[in-house]
Amino acid sequence: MTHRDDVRDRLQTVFRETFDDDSIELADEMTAEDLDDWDSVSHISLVLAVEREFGVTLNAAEIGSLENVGAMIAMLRAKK
Amino acid sequence: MIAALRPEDIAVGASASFEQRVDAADIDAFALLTGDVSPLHMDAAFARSRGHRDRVAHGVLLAGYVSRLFGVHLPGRDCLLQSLNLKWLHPVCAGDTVRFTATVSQISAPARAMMAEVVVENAETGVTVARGKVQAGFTGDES
Repeated sequence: MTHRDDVRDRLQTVFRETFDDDSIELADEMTAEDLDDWDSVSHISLVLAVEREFGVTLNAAEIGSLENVGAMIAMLRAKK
Repeated sequence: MIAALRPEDIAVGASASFEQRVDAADIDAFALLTGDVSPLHMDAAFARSRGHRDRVAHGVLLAGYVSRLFGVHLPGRDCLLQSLNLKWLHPVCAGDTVRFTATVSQISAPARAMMAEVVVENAETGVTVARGKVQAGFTGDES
């Protein structure tokens, strides 16, 4: 498994737990438009859950840059 | 006194606590407000017939006190509760004094949010009667 696949799998687990939906399959181009429950509050939940899962702290610029799943994966790979 | 802590003022491990006696009058008021007049809450004889010491406080009444913990104490004024996950482990009965404690487990100033562990104990016995997690955001000026 590549590092990118590992990050993607862990991120998928975070999404499934945050949105309480085991059917979620992440795709790089996925945005808040693709998940009904991905609103401003759940986005904060997602940020906090990502920080816990990956042991990272996200700054305001990084949080603002998380426009889709691919951007999240790239950011997390860059931070590890 | 309502606290007014900002994310920058709070570190992981920060905590707040208060004690509250839950009287029959509190249970009556909550039942009137919500319409939950189950005899478990309203009828001491019925509650005793189900193995409880006295009328059982509504679990969500306790959740209301958890709201006070965050809205008044930690962080206080600027709090906006975003999620509450609470498990009720033991009943609280009329006349019990309960201690509510929140401990911050995660704080993100950029996300304007924090996570906290909540423990609710019977103040007389020390038994944990409920526990849970809260996600709270911060309203207001981000400066």
